[in-house]
Amino acid sequence: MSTTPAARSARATTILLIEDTASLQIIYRAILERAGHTVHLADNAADGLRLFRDIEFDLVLLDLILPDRDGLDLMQEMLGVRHDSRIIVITANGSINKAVEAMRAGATEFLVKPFDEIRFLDAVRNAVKPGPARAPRLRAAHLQDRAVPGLPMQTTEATSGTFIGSSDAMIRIKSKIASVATSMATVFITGESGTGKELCALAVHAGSNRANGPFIALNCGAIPQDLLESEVFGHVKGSFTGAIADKPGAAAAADGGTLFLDEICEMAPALQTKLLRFLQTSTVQPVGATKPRKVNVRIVCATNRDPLDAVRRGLFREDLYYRLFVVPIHMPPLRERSDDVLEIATAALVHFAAEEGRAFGALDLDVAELFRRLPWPGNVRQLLNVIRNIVVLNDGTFVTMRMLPDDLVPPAGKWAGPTTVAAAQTDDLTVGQLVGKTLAEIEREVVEATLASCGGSVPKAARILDLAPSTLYRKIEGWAKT
Amino acid sequence: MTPAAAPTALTPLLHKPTLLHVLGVVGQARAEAFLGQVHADLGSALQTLRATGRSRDQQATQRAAHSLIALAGTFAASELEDAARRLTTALQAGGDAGQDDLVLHVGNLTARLISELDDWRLSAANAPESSGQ
Repeated sequence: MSTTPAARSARATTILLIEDTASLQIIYRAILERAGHTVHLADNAADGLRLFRDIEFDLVLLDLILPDRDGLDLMQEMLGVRHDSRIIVITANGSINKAVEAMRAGATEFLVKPFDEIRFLDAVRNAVKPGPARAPRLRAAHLQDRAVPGLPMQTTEATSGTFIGSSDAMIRIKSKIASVATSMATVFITGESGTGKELCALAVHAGSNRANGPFIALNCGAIPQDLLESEVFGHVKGSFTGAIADKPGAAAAADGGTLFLDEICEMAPALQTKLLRFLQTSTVQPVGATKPRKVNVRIVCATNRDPLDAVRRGLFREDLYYRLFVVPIHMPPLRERSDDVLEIATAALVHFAAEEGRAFGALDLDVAELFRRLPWPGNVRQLLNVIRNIVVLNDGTFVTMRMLPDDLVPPAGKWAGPTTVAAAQTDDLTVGQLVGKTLAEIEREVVEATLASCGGSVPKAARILDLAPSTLYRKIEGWAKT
Repeated sequence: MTPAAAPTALTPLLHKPTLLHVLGVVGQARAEAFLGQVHADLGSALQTLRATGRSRDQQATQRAAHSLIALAGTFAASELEDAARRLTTALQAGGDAGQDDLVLHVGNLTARLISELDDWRLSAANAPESSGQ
């Protein structure tokens, strides 16, 4: 295997691997050592604990199902010995509820077996990274007294600026945000409704050197077009009927901070011209004002449309498109990151349960399986609404199938899991729609759809595509760089 | 006497490109030892599953199924991985309904995977200019 970029960039650490299946030990150890880490092995809880007491490890990788002791029990004892230990729980699907318990009890991360080496090394790198970005543990603490990070605006606080999600797609997005946040470059976020575009904009703002400045969000699609100019650029008293006082407008209010223009493709052509002028001159002139005013604003915009298609159809100015489309970030739909569904659902469950005074702490295994497979057309927003609905109408420790809203589960025979979902998604795709795309674009679409239908499992997708996983890894890495 | 039905060709459990990839991850020097260990781990899980009918050791069966999910998944042996998941779910749900059949099914798939791996090792060893993979 060639060394991946993830492997090369991972900082060398001393890791304790507690795993009872010897052949898996060999694989995990090989991946970690190739990435430059030092690995100590234990194949049972007793040996693992002894090593843990003797050596101060940077990280523990802990299988939850061990021959001599429950892994969660062991983790709690380890955290009792060194409370700041970083522990990644590794588990097969059958123990997801335990993994969720483990996160709540202080685990840094959990990985569901089987996982590929990129995800594995990403998790290791994130777990040992200093600072708040590494810490699901901080996230867990955050959950107890604040809003749920990783969720769209209506349920999170503007100060959060972090996502829940450890899928490859989310890791790539977080990495992209981290690399662009400190620049002044305009960020153009695309994605379906409910995928967290506003949260992405917030994360860009929070990671920038203008994080202490204002973050002003404006939904261009929600404001009547005749009021939009005033909303963006402001007005002076008496400039039109109803202008009873001076209003600075969003652009001026965002001075020193970030202006987030959501649903940018809904903006009327006349205002697009003014926005372009604003971008070129960094000045705003409120309606009725005689002098322009200089402002220092970073623009982040978003749309749930294909912006280039809007340009082709004459709905969006081409010059404005090129001015704004500097750093594109695409927020993938939830169905393409099914591994994140449970993380988001559980975090939301804990949060809403605390709000509503309920005891919920985890999803029943059947529910977890179903959630992973549902297509979630409304994305994170739909998932949150479902969780809220469950919490409000029920109580218990686990969310069970009978608590789910009636309209969530399609009638028997109408839906048969991820393969059917993937098929349904591609049913809409005709050859005609592919015409005009390059072969590379088509290949990427097919590979990404296949990966999504396999829950992100590279080996599974490789099998379906009849490719070597290494070929698929190379393709994914190549796309991540673009 | 009716003629015997033609044997149905089974889709191989083992995805050879994935096996080669995993061997690449492990490294050529450790490949043979690794394959031997995989054989041993699968064999151990199979032994546990085969004993289950008599001893009903639920915890050991859980551990075997857990191990098989990861091992099968590592080699993209999706049929076995999915069956082992179903077995885990059934064991967690409790009750005996269908468990024996599922244990038998997972055991049969495990035996098939072991056999496919052995065949592959044999053919790799006999191949001219064998690289050990």
